[in-house]
Amino acid sequence: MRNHKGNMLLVELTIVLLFFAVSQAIILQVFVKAQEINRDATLRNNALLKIEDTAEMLAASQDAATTLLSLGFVLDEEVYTFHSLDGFQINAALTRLTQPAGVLTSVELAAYQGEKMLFSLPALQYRGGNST
Amino acid sequence: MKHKAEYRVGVGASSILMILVVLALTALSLLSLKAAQNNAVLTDRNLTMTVAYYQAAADVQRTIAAIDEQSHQLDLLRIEDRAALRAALANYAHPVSLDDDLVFAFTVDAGADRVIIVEGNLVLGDTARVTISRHELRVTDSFSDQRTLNVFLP
Repeated sequence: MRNHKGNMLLVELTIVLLFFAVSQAIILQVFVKAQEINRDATLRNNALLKIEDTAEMLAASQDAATTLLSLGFVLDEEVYTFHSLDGFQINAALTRLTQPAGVLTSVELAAYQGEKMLFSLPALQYRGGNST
Repeated sequence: MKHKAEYRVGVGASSILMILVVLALTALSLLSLKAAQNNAVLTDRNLTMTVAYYQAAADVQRTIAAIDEQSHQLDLLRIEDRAALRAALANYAHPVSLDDDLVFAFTVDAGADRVIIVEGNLVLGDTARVTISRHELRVTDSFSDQRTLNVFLP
């Protein structure tokens, strides 16, 4: 009788431990998912901050190419590239449209996470020919 | 003979404790997931609004370049040329108004009920030049308690 009771206790404990283990596995996955979502959001935020910073610096600059280089961009096959330690990359394509009255400088800034493009925004600056 | 009641912790207590722990962890994990999702939604909203603003600011620069280019080709001391410029500016993607004092104004939609208001004037000289006197981002509709920000909806 005592032996039978001991076996029942063992079975009960095993079931409880199994239930606990399965629950923890599911809960752990939820925590990991939450962490991934947060990490992606943080990365997008950091990329946005860097791109905004670059766009504002370009808006105030006299020479877009020099400004990009001073901000840590590297010229690689006609595209300026910035590699962040946070895991994103920013590409800046610079074009100049010269017209008789002035110069329209256009920089297309695009943020990438690996091969995946996160977002892009334009930074344009017009400078008149002999006054601003 | 009176027996003394004996209390001891059995298997049931540990099972209940375990269930409570599992429930607490489940609640915490769901709350953390919801917080992360809300954070992602806010990030996306911020991203959309920022990109819309910079696209509008780029449109402003393109329009100013077009105004400068157009006025550069005309002699604005002549009434006919001023009229021609006024007509041309009114047909832009973002129509530009031009008054008799050569003050121009236009607005560009910046998304999320916001506009960029631009004002400036053409300075006559050897060639007409553009000077900007106002470049303002403004919310188009006034705040009302019917349009509160609900952070729990994507």
